[in-house]
Amino acid sequence: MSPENYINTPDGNEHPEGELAAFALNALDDAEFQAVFHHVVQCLHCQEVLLGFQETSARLTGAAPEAELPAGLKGRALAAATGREAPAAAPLPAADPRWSMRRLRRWLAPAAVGVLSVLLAVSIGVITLQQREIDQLNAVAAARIDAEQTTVQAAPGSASAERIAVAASVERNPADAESAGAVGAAAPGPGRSELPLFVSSAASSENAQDLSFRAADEAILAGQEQAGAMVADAETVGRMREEMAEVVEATVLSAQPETEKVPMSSPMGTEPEARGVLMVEPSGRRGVLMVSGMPADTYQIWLVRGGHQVMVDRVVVNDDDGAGVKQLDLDESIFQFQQVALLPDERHGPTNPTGEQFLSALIVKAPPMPPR
Amino acid sequence: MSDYNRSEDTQHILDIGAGNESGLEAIYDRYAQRIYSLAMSVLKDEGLAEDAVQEVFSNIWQKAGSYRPEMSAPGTWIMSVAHHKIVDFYRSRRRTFDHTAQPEPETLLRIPDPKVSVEQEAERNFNARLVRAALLELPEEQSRPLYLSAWHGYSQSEIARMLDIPLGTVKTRMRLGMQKLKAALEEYVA
Repeated sequence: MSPENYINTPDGNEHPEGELAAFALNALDDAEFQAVFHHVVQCLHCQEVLLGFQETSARLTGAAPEAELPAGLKGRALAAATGREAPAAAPLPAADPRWSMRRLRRWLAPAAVGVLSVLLAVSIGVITLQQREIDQLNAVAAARIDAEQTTVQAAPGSASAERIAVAASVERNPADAESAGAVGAAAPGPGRSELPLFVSSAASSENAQDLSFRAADEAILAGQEQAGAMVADAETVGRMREEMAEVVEATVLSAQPETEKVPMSSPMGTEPEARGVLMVEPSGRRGVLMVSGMPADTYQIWLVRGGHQVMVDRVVVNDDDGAGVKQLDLDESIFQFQQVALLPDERHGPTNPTGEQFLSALIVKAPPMPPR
Repeated sequence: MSDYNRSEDTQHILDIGAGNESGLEAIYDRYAQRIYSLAMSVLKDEGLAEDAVQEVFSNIWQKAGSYRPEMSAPGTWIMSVAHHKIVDFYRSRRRTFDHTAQPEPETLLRIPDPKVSVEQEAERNFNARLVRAALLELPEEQSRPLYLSAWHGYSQSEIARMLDIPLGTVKTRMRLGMQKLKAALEEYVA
């Protein structure tokens, strides 16, 4: 604290009067704030001076440039304050605030938002396809059971006959899976609880919403075309669940303010559309890599430190969006390394990242925040 | 603020302290606009500003029981709670913000949108115009640290780095600026 900001009163006491204006404005750094605070709570003289500055500070802060108050904030603010639920009129409240796209966007670099939007869209498509497969299988199974058990009993036009007709149609023409899915959607099925989460997340965003929905529409249309060829075996569903888990992990991690984010780009500019972001927990040992705009391929993930390189994992990009996501669990902190790079798996052996780097970034950890 | 409004606001805060939600709603109606404006000014992001406003009202809800009317006016207490919360909110996330961006001094001249002429808006506009007029009368070297701190959440050491001047100089200018602003506002009101 600057000594010139202290004054001595006739009673022999020293008062930080010169700091009180800054104290009222909350403009002191931590150590100074603590010192002044501890003095003020015991000093009536300084409390009196401070009150005058606080009134001025309140008037000053109350004159900040005006911003338009968002509609609906009142309900949310009062509900949050008092601990009761927000009014039902609030538009599409997220099931869990961590999933709000708006909240995600705060912590993501713009490039990462693009990646996330694509991944969310893909995840919607994946979930839709997964649900459709399950519904299709349910419909087929129901049809078979009904056909075996109630062939004679079912009267024309009855619900049971309708189900048989739908299921038979699905069996004949898998492209009808869409309508079969609609029938199956009447009852809760596996994975359904996850669907509204993503839908409401996407719906609560603004620009990302259109992007996500458009991409989701495309994914669904593509899925309709492929539905007949898809085999909903346990392996496929398992892989989808794994991909979903990684997307979920990325979403959760990206929402944490303390997450370190390393944006990646094409080092030579040869792949201008290729982007990525590596999100890492503060420990540096766990993270998620998300990429987009990449040619379909398997990519090696390399960490580089001085003359030492380690290939830590691979990320698969195998869809039309060129998007991929990979959860990383590392033996040592990623912050022990200086660079992260992605190389195509096919053209380079797993021994040295000397080939063409599709994506690269220097790893720099933000300095820790001082305690307040 | 009129004596009537002051005593009403005092009663609302006391009601909140007693767990009365209608008191909080009344305080929201009177102060949300200026609190949100402050949050937007400091945080520059609608989502963050909304979160900060929610935290401010949570804080008011929790701390109203400790409010002492004889110590400070209700508006002073509310805006003090709001400013501290919003600045803390900003500082806890500041590595996501661009430190190189300096607010333009023209923000001083930005007059609130005169769209609504309800009583509360008039009172707020009156206060805003008064404060801006008083700030404009100060030497810019003294007004600048004040609004950088009050409206943008910067600490003295951040302002020193931003303006490339010694920390001691910032302290002196801020202290002189606040003393003059305080005197000017008292004079206007008188």
